Amino acid sequence: MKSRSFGLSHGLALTALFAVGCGGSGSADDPALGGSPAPTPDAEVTGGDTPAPGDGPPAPGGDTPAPGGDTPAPGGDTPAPGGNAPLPGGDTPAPGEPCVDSDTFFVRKVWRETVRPVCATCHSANGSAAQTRMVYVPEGAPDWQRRNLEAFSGVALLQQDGVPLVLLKPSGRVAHAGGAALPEDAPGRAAVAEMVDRLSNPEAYACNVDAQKQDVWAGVELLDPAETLRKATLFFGGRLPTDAELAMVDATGIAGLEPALDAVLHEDAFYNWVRWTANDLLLTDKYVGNSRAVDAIDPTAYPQAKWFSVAGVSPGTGEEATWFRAAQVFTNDSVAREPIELVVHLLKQDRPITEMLTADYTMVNAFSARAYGVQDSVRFEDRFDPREFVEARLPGVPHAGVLSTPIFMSRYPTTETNRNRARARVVYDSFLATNVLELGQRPISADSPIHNPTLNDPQCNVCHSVIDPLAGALQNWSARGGYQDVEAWYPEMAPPGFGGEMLPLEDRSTGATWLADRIVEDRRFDRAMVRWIFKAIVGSAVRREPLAPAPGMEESPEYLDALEAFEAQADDLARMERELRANGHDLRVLIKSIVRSPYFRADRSAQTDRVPGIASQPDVGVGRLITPEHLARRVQAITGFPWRPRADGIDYLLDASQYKVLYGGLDSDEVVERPSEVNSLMAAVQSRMATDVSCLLVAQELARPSAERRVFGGVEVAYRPFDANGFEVPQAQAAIRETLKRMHWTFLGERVTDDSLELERTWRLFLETYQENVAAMASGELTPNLSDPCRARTDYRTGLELPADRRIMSDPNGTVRTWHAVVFYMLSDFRFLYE
Amino acid sequence: MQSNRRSFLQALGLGVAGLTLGWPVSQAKAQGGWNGRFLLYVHAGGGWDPTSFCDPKGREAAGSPDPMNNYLMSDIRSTGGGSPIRWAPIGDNDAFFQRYGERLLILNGLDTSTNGHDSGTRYAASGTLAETHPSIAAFYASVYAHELSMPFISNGAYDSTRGLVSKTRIGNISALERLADTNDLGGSVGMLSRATLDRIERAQSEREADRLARNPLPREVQARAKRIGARATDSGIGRLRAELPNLQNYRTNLGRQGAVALAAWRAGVSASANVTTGGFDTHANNDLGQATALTNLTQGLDEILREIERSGATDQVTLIVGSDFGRTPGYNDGNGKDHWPVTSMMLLGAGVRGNRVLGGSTARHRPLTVDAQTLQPLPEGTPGLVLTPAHVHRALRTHLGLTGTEADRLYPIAAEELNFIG
Repeated sequence: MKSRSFGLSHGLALTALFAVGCGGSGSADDPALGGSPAPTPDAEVTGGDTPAPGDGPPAPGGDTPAPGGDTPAPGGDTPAPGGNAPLPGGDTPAPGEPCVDSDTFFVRKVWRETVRPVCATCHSANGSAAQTRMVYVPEGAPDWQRRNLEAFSGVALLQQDGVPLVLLKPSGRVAHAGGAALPEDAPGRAAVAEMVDRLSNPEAYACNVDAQKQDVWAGVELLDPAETLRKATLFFGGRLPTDAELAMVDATGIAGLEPALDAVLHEDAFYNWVRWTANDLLLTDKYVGNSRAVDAIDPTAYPQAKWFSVAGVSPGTGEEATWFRAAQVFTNDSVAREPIELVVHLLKQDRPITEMLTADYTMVNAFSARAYGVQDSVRFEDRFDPREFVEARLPGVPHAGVLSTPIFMSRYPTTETNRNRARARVVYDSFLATNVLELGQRPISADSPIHNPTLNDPQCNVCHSVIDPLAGALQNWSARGGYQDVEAWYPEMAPPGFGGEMLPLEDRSTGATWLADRIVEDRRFDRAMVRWIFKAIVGSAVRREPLAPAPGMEESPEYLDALEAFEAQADDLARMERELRANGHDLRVLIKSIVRSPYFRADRSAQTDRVPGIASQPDVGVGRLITPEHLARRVQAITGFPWRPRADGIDYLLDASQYKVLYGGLDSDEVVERPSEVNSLMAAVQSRMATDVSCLLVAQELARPSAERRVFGGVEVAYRPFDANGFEVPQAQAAIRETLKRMHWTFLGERVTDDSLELERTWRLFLETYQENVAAMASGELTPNLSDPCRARTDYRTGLELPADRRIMSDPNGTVRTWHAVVFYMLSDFRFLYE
Repeated sequence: MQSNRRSFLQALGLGVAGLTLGWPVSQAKAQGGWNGRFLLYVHAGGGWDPTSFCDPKGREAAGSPDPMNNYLMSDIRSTGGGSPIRWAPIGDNDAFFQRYGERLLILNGLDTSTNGHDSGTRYAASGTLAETHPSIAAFYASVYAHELSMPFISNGAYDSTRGLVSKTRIGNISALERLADTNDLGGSVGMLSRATLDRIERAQSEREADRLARNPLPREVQARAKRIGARATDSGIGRLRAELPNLQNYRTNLGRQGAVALAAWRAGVSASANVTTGGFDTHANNDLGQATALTNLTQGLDEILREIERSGATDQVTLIVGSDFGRTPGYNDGNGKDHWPVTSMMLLGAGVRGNRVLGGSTARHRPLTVDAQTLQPLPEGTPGLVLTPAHVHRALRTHLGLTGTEADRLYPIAAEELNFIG
C-alpha cells in the first residue's frame, strides 16, 4: 500500500465533480492515458473495495516509472490507473498514514510545484494565454482552488493522439506559444500525469477526507467573551466596555458581543479608527499640515485651491490673520483628507465600501468647497465647522470615488514617460490585491531586440499587459490630479481597458468611472478589502505561502505547520470575502467577522507540551505592539488623561515631531509601514509615557470629587494602610485592595479575585513602596514636596485654580508617591502596551 | 511550559542564568558601542542641476541661443594648479570647492536611466532602480552595527532597510532628550526611587514568569522577549545628549541633521545616517532655485565637515553626496529645467582619494563613455563604458568592506567592479 502524509487536510472534496464523463476508469494500457505498464501484483487494494482512511489506493508496483525507462512515450510517465497515490519520488510511507485526496494533491503537487510557476503567468486573465481554454486565477482569489482545478481538468481530460493536452502542449512536441515549458524530463511532469490519472480514475484514489479533517484551532484557548469585549471596545471605540455591555456578555456569552459591537462601530471614536485605517491604505495624510495639499494639487484645474490667500487681504492682522491662518489649515487638511472622509462617510451612511471607488460624488467641507469653487452649490449646517463634510459634485469632473480625488492622484503622480503606470500599480495593489511587480520576478535581458518591448516582448509585457490598460483607463487625470480631456492615448501602449475588456471609445472621457465599476465587480476587490481590514485589526499582513522546503524537508513540522496555517487562513479569508460580497460590501460585517474569529481572540495554548500548528505562527495571539494612535487613546480611555505636553496640545503619540514616528507611526510619506517589534527607543517612550501619566494622573484624580474620578473613586490621599502607630487600618486597606482589583481590569484586562496571586503581588508592591516612602520621609531622605509636574494646583482640563482644600502640592502621607508606583507598574506592563 | 520557557530564552538570547540577572542582558553589547567609521549619505532632494554645480557648462557669450546655463563659460571656476575640479559660479560654490576640492572625488556623467524622483532617489542611495535593495547607509549599519540602539539614523530620502537593521528617525531632539532618563521630571529627584523601580521590575518579572507558565502562544513569547531585550539595551540617548553641540549655532537644517548624526556616532550608538536637503526640483526659475538649494547644500556640508574636523574624525567619516537625477539641457519657457537622467555624485572623507573628477558629459550634458582603467571620459561617440550610480555603489561596497557579505549576496549590484575610490 502506498500513500503519503501531507499533514492536515483542507481538501475540497471536489473529485466527484470530475468523476462523471471523464473518459471511464481507464486502464494501464489505455493509449489515451499514455499506455503505462500494467499494474504489478502488489498493487492490490487491501482492506476491501473502498479504501479506509489511512489506506491509500493501490500502488503500481511501488515506483513511478522512471523517465527513460521502459514506459512508452508519449506520456509515459503517467502512473498506472487503478494504482495508489504514489508521489514523485516514490517514498513508501508508514502504514496508517492518511491518504492524499486528489484536491489536496492538485494544490500541493500540481498547482504549486508546476502549474503556478510554469503555466499560470500566461494562462491567467491578464496573461498572454488569456484567450485559451485554460485560464487560472491567482491563489487566494475567491474559490481559487476549485476554479483552478476546474481549469486544469477542462484541458486535462482533452486528448490529442491519445495524450492529455496538459502533457502534450508543454512538451514542445506540438505548437504551444509558451514553448517547451514542461519537457519530458521536467521534474513536475510526473505529478501532472498522476493528476490526469486521478481525474480519470477518481474511485481508485478515493479517500475519506472528512475523517481526516481536524479543527485547526483545537487546542487554542480564546479570550473569554468579556475579555473579547474589552479588547474590541478599546480597539474600535477607544473606551472600556460599559457595565451593561459586560453584564450582557457575562449572561449570554459571545452572542452578547453583537449589540456591543454594533454600538461601538457607530461611535465617533470608531470613525477615527476608520480614518487611521483608511490612511494606512491611501497614505494621503502625507499632505496634512501647512499648505502641502493645496500646493500639491493641479493649480490649473483647481485655481481657487488657495482661496484663503488673497493678495492685499490675507493674512491681514489681528482676528483677520487668525481667520486666514485657520482657513488655510482647514482648507489644506480637508483637501488632504478628502478620500479618507469619503470612506468615513460610507461607514456613517451604511453604504457599501464599493463606493470608495464608484461614488459619483466627493466629500467637501465649507473650506474645501471654496477651494473647488463649489461653495454655492452645497449647503452646510455650520459653514465654519471644518468637521462637517457633505457630498458634492465638481463641475465637469466624472467622479470615481477616491480615484478622482485630486489628492489621491497627486499622492501617486505621473509623468510623460510613466503614463499612469505607477498609479496603475497602486490601484492593483490597493484595490485588486495584486502586486504587479511580482508578476515580473524573473530575469530579463536589457537588450531586447523587439520593437516596443513593453507591448511586444513577453519578458516586459508580462507586467505591462496588466498595468498599461489600467493606466490608460486613468488617462484623464493630469500629473497633479486635475481632470483633463485627452485627444488620444499613447498608441504604442496596450489599449486602455481592464481585465481583457477594452475601454470603449465613448467612455474615454470617463475612464476612471468605467474602470471603478469593473474593479468592484472583480472578486479581487473583495480580497483587497479583506486584506486591508484584516491587517488593520490583526496587525499582520495576510500570510504568504511558506517557501518550498529543501529536498527531504517536505515533512518537517515547521513547514507543515506553516503550510497548514497558510491554507487555513486562505480558507478563512476566502470565506470572509464571500461574506463581504453577500452582505452588500458592508465593512462592519467583515469587521465583526474578524473580531469573532480566533485571529482576534486567540490567547494561549491549552496544552502544555505543544502549540497547535496554526497558533505557532507569528500573527496569532497576544503580542501585537499597540500603535501610537491606539496607545494614545488607550491612555486617555483608561486614565481619563491624555499624554500631552499641555492640556491643549497634541498627544505626544500623535505628533510626528514628538513620538509618533519614533514609536512606529506613519508619516505617510517616507514611513509607510508599521514596525512589528519594539526597539530600545520605543521602550524608552513607553517608560516616559508611564512616568508622565502616573505623575499627572494621581494628584489630578485625587484632587477631584470622588464621583468625577475614573481610577481612584474608592480611595483618598489620606487612605493609608497603616496609621501613625503602625497599626493596620482595615477600611483603608480594603478600599485600596478594591481599587487595585479594579485597576487590574481597566488597565490590564484581568479579572482578579480577592485571593489571586496577581492582586497579592500588586498589594505587596503598594505596601512596600508605601513603607519605603514613609521611612524615607521620616529619615529626611525625602521631602513631602512633590515635583511640580506631579502637583495638582490647577485643574488640568480647565486650567482653573483648584480650591485650596483640594490642591495637592505635597505628599505627607506617602500615598501619592505610592500610587505613582502602582500606576507606573500598570502602564508599563506588557498587557497595557500590547494586545 | 518547558517548551515555551525554552523558546522564550532562545528568543531572548539567554541561558537560564540570564533571567536571574534581571533586565540588563545585552547592555554589554551596546555599552561597547561602535567606534568604527561613520557613513553619511547626503541627499539633495528634487534633482540637482550638475551644470550649476560640479559639472559646469555655461554659455559662450551673452547672446548665445539655447544656453546650457546663463553664466559664461569664462566664469567657470577651478582651483587651478592642474586640479580637475571645476564648478559653476553659483551660490556658495566658490567657498565650498575652494575649501574642500582637494578632498573631493567627483563623478560626472552618471546615467541614471530615470526621470522619476522616487526611482532616481533610490538609485543614488542604493545602486539599483528597483525597489529591492537597502540604502547604502542602512546596508553599512546592518553589517557592522545592527546591535546598536540606533544603528541607522534617517532624515529621509531613500532609506529602506529591507529589514536588515532598525531605522531611527530623529525629528525633534528635545523630544529625544526626554527619553534619556525616563524617570526624570526636571527636579532633583526622579518620580520613583531606585528601590521602587527595582521593586516594580521584580514584580513585572514575576508576572512575566507566571504568564510563561500559562502556555502563551509563540507570538507573545517572542514579543515579550523582544521587549525585555529592548528595555535592557541602553538607548544611548544620555551619551548622545552629552555629545550634542549647541544646535542653535547651525545655520542650516542639513548641518543640524549632520550634527545630531555625528553626536550619535561619537556616543557609540550609530554607524550611519541619511541626511537631506531639498529645493532642487526647479521646473521654474532654475538658476535662482538651484542657487538657493545649492547654498543650503554647500553650507550644510561645510557645517558637517567642520564638525567632523572639530571631532578629529576626518579619517573616520565617509560622505556620499547624491541627488535624484539631473536637469534638462537648456531652459524651458519658465526659465526652469525639467528632469534629466544624467547626474553627478560626490564622495569625500575617510579613504577617499580626492582632487579627482571621473567620468564626464558632453556640452549638452549627455554621458560620455569612459576608459575602463582610468575612468576618464573618451571623445564623444566612442563606444565604451557608461558610468552609472550602480558602478559607484559597487565600488563603495568594496571600499566599505561590504563586498562578499551575506547582504551583498542577497542584494547584488549589477555593474562592473571598478575600484576607484581609494
